[in-house]
Amino acid sequence: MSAEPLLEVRDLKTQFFTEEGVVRAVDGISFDVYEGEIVGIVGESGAGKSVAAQSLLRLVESPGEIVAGEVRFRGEPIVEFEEAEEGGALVPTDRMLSDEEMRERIRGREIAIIFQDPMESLNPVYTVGGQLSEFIELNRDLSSAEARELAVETLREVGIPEAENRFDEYPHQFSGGMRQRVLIAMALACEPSLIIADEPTTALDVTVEAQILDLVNDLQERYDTSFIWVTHDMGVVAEISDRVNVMYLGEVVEQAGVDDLFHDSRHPYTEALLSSLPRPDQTVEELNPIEGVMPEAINPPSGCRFHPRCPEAREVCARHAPAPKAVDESESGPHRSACFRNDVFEVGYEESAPLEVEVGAGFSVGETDAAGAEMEGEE
Amino acid sequence: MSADTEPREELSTSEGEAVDFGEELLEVEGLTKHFTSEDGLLAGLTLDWDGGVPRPAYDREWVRAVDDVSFSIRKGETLGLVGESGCGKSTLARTILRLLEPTDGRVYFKGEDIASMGSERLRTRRKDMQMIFQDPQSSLNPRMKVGPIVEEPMRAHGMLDAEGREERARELLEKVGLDPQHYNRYPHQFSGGQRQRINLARALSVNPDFIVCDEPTSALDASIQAQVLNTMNELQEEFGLTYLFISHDLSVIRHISDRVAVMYLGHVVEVADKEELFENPKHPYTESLLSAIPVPDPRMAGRRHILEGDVPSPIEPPSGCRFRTRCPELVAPEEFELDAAAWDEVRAFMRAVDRQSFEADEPATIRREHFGGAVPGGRAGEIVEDAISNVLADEWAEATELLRSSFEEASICARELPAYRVDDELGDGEHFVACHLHRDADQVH
Repeated sequence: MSAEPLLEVRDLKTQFFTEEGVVRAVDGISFDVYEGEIVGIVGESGAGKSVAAQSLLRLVESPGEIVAGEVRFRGEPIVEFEEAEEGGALVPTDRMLSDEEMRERIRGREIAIIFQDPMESLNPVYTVGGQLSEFIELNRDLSSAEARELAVETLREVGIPEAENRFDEYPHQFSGGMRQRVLIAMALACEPSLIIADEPTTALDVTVEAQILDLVNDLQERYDTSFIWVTHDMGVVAEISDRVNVMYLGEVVEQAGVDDLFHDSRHPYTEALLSSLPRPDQTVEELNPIEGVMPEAINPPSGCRFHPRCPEAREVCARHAPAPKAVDESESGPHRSACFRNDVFEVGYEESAPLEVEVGAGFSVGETDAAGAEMEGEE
Repeated sequence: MSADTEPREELSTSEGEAVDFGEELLEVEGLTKHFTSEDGLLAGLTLDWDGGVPRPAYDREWVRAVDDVSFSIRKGETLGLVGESGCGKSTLARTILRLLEPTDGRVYFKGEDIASMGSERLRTRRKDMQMIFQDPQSSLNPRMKVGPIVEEPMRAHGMLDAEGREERARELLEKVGLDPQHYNRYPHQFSGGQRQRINLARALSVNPDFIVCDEPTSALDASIQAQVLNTMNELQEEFGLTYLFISHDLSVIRHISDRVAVMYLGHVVEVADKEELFENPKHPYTESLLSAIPVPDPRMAGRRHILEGDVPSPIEPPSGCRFRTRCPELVAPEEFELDAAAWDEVRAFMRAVDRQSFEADEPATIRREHFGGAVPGGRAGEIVEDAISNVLADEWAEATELLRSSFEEASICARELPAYRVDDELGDGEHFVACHLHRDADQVH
């Protein structure tokens, strides 16, 4: 791992100001991305992973707003706040890159983003090749003939068959996997240092997903591009990432090298998530679901946000909120966990009384104990 | 399909009511469903303008969504049906329940043919066959309360009186893990997982034997999916249910199924006991599918063979084995007497020409890059040389056509529909595989 991170994220907070109240979608997350690595962000829907990805490029739209924290790309402040002289509220600093600088220097050229639905990212009334070469022409100052040539070459590189002939076809004439390849081609075309991929394979079939993951591995080796890979799929994370951030309700609860995360996880949420998964490589007779559902980010639980569903919650977990701390160190960097169960926290977890897991909304899951309600068969 | 099954005649004489556990509850024979790709009476009408006077022509394109599918489901078991999007698995499910009219074939439910049943008889039989859909949101009427939603099928089938229905609805809500107090709530007040539980309660209300579950947990998060799958397992045990469980997710299929059927482009290509199918797959498509799933364990990463290309159109599916156009193990045509290595080179070259993935400059370069310097001998070599000349003349389409017709279409895979029964090594059932690699085994049909 090189000394300086390519991207540094510190205490980033993004909130949505809705009629019902403030939704703290991303609530103080920190992580680094180094040159040439693939960093996974994994979590269930509503964990805030997509908002986190969009915040990195300042793509959050109203009513959402980045309210605090720092994002640095090669030392340059994409997001930076300071206290106002009067009142002490947080305001963006003067050093923070302007919208114009973001548009002209950063987005697309240095950091590209790939979204889940390729149909929405491509304009249906322009040809695929036209969109790609226009993008290249604008971002790389090439003539249109040169841009076209580079576009065909990039399409061939991402495995589009008959690239030359298909250049003039429209997005609807491409399959889902092929469209996602076009978006990868578009992301690659400006040779960015970092690509943020937000659930890029979720809408695809497994065999097509395998093709795309393979392609990304290939391209990453060849160009040494860094990736931030946002997904809900633990299998994809295991397959592709070097390091992983696990998000739960707006927070990063665990951060580790991929092998440590899966084989030595230090947070009960990660453990519970892994043991709730059916596996393709072995038969799991009994799944261990996580009790209850993830609460809304509008009114998160006190203390550790996972404590109402956590099988290992103690009384202290409801009172204090753990921030991620390094609990171990390996060649892939520090292993951080936001769980008091780890000794480094020294908050008296062991002495604290265990909590009964409360299950939200008065329904019992997992066990449907008959309790006298015996059903009579009709026959 | 099972050897220890009683003959069907006997089943039908018992008015199709008593089926013991482990015996066939549902038998599908040669089920076929074709759609016209356009709607309307005149949709297939085209005018041929050649030669001045327009001549009308009537020609409809048929989407062969499900083609000649046969399998059976035993009472009390879960048959997993897995395949990628567009393979026809949802169409198959709907055709089995006759929500879609079958084009051909028979569906025996408790010995009675649903496919040819009169509509009144069908209506009463539907009580025993329920379905759960993928999207728990759109399958619940947002303006109805949960209680009446669960009661509706009972009302439709004239079961119980109003009081009895309400009592049963409350019981069922509890059975599927919801609070009976929620009887008066609306669907939007529930989470996705809870809504799928409401769907389960509704399906169970008429006391069915058989439930078709079409991707019931695909819209749910992992931790919620586990809750719903566990509930489904418990309900199956308690009520003796039989499931046809459709999913694209092989992990879910492995967890929930007793036996598994794999579909590709309208055909069922392999059916076997779960352990047998996952540990000892025989069809190259099943193998590719299994190796494509990312395993939630980084130590297992990177061991896979990647399937090339896309699924062909179901309008003009390939002849013979429909997987042959992408199959990594296409059987070599016998007339060329190619060894395995030479055959691999020929096929790789065929794919490269089809995809135009190389630049045609020097014949020597092409020979070196694709055939290690020397093309195969004999007739095969002559064809390859002809294709190389085509490519050099920038006639890619001709080269592709020449190679395809000479090699791929000469293969047994293109000429005959495969259907074999192979030895089951890990299970105690039968192992059906539609692949000519196993042509030494017993042929089915």
